[in-house]
Amino acid sequence: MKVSENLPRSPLGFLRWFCKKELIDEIEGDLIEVYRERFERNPRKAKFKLWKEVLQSFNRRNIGIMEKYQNWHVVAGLSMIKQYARVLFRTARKHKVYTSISVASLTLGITCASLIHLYIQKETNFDRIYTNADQIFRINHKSKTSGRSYAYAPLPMTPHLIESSEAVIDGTRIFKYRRASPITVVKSKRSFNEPRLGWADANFFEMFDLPIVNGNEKGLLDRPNTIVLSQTTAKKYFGEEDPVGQMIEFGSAEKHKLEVVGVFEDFPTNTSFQFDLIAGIETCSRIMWSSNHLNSWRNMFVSAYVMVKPGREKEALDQIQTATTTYFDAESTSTWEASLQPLTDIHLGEAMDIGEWSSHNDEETLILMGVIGIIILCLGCFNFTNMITAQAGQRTKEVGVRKVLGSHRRNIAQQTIFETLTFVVISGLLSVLFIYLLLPKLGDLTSHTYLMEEILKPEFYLPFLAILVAVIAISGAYPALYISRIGSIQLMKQSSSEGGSSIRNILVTAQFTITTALIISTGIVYLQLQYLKNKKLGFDDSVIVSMPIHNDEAVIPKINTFRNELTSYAGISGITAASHEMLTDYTYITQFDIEGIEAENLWERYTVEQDYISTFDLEIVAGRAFDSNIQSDSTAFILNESAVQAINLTPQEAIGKTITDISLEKKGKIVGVVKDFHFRSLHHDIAPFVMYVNWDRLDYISARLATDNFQENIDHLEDTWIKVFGEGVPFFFSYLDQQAAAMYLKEDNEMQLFSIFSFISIVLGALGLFGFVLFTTERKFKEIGLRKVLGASSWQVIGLINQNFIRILIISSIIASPITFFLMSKWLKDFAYRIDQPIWVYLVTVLIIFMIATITVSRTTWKAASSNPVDAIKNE
Amino acid sequence: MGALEEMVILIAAAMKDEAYAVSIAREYTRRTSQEISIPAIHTVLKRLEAKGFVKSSESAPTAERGGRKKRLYQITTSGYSLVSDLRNQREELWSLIPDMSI
Repeated sequence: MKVSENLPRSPLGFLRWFCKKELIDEIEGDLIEVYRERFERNPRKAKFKLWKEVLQSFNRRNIGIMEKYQNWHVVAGLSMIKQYARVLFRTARKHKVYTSISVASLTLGITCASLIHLYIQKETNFDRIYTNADQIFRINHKSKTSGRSYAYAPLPMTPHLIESSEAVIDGTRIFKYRRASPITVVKSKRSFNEPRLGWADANFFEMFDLPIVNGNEKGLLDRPNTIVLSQTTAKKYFGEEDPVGQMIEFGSAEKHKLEVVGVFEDFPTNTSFQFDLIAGIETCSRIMWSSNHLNSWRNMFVSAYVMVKPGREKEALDQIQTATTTYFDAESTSTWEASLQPLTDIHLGEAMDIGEWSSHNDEETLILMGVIGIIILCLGCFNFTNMITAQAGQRTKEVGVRKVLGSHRRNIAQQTIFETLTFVVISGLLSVLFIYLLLPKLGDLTSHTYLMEEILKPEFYLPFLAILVAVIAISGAYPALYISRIGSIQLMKQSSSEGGSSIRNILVTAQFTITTALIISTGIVYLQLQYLKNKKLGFDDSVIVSMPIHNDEAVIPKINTFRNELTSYAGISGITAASHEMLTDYTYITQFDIEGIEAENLWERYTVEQDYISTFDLEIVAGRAFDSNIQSDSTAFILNESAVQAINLTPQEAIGKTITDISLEKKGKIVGVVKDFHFRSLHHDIAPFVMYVNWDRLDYISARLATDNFQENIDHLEDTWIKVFGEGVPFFFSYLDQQAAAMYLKEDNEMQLFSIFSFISIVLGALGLFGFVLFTTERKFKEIGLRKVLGASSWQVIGLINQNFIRILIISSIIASPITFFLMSKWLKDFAYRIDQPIWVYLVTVLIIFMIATITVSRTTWKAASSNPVDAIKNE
Repeated sequence: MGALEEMVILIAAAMKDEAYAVSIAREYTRRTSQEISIPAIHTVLKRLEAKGFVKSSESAPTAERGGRKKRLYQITTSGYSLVSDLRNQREELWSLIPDMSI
């Protein structure tokens, strides 16, 4: 029979391993017979059923593993381990509470610390996926006049360096348009608004070697009018079809055809480059800029990266500085200082004032996270060590009996180590399970994706192994070394050991200090966040929607028609257009000259339409708003209070002065001053700000909608949009209040993390305290009994048990408060607008901790206090 | 004695010399049109053997079983008297049940 070779090996091997010898023939023979019968019908099902039946056979009646190893103990000391295991199970069962507290604490500690470790690893490996990451630098520039730093280099810089510098191997530029770009798929006629479109040099993918999954590796963007897509985007556009060779269109009214020439693997979450589409920068120049733009040194608004030969960074920087001084300073009103920033330093290092478009994180936050991780791990280990040593202290009698019966000191040490090891291994395995379950949640919180494989790398698990070995050593060492040394008679006389109680006090105090600090911090972060979210921005953001129009020349002339169409509609109370979307972090800064003022004013400016002020409901403090009926208002300017203050004028004095935007050569009179309002997020102070109607570009239309029949209003807006601008201009909109909320996403996530951490540390603290009080009570059981016999009331007994832990709580709040105050003041400094730390948060926290602690211990104390003293005393 | 045990012992008795786990399972499936797993039959047979209702003997190894021996089961006298007692009990009860069609 030829099937015989095809019998599945693993289930039968397993069967043969565990099965009693005398049963193998019958069981295996029967299973093989039916397996063959089933195999004829359905091989896969047959195999599955075989496995199922083997596992069903794995029962008490059939298992004969132990007989197999019966004679081994002489060789392997197996019977000793068997004996250890038996004692372990008995102890674990007897001290169920202690055992579960220690395992739960350690599991919690390891799980949290691992998750934090994973996150920190992701962050510190930022931008390191590229082969030459260590040799790649970003060119930054700093204006000596304004002190502002830019993450940009003049456009001709990299070609110039590649040609003239020996130290520079390669260089590439990438431009990210700060607004979403309209893209239409030609074949399906579907439109998308793509916020992550980049324009790069053809060698971009050679320097940043992301895998290309479809298309040629080399010279991907060499040809003009080509574009490459990320895998996800390609799928979104073309489904299962081959994207290479397909056409897409860029632009809304004036459309430019681009050919898809390749697909790159999605950028991982931990890199500065987050693009879904990348097209050639020359194509960009042709579509959006003038013909000579790429060669003009005065253009500095694009990031440039260079790959430098190892050790020759200084030389490269000198050459860059020379080029900047020679070519760029000549075109600029300022002098500039160039610098090279390592690619791997961009995410965590110093952030430039202008031109950062990737996510940024502080090293400090990571250090704080790391410290919290270590603290939680320590809390877990404290609990574990506490419980194990407390338990060991109660087992002195057992050890005494063992010694009398001839146990060697080494056996006793071995046994305690064996027990600790077992618990640690169990906690480790449970942690792996929890990590697996929690990885997606961690991904949501930190906007990264995590894979389970990452915890299998030695650099990940080795530190944990080291810590666990330390935990085993510390928790095992005390009983192993201390108890095993004491003479057996002494051990048996002593009812329980007092050893380690001062260490235990210190550990519990440390735990509560940390818990208190974390809860207070959570409270303050929460209050600050509420403050930010509820702070008046200076304008009404409730129901404003903004729609991108990308300075589209086909749209702008029709804005008036659009507005007129909507004036008769009651659900929409205002329509206006401007160069900016309110609350975006991107700004234009230009230089303004004011009649009679000797100062170089680098101010933010928006170019707006006349009804901007009424639509956003901005408050005028002097002069008036723009008025379309006044002819001269076509060149009028309006300043905010901060701008007026910056030039030492009162709002009234400023009215009527002549002002010039030097950079854009626009000149006019100041007609009004608006009250300060927040045009950027509250991380920033309100800066001087200028609005004028003589616009150079309009990128957004904003509309104020009535809240009643909201959906109807949106629908009407869209219908009118299509009617006026036509189907070719896609309608997209976003809510301003949602955008305002999104600005604090980072703080929101911090808040969540803080709450999780404080919750965990409360749980750990409570577990620790519970065990601690349980231990104290059990030790004082006889004392309590005697006191009660001598007339103590239940309440006096409760006071006796609790005085120790109340002392601990008081000490820990006294230590925690000043430390937290200091740390939180530091955190709050990041915000231009912040709360004062309220004292009540501190008081409430202490109260909460007292309550949790009291609830935790109440059952144990009450049981001890109300117990019958006879039980305690007779128990000798 | 459970219904499954009774069924198995009856099938074993009916099959005379050819009763072993696989053939019993087949017969069971044929008669009741219910699937049953081999380990389940094993468990029942071992239980019956421990109670002395069946006895077993080994046969020669065969190729379709991968060279493994069969264990054949036969009903014992005490097994036979048990099932016939069961049958008598049932028939007595049946005689008391009035005819449903009336």
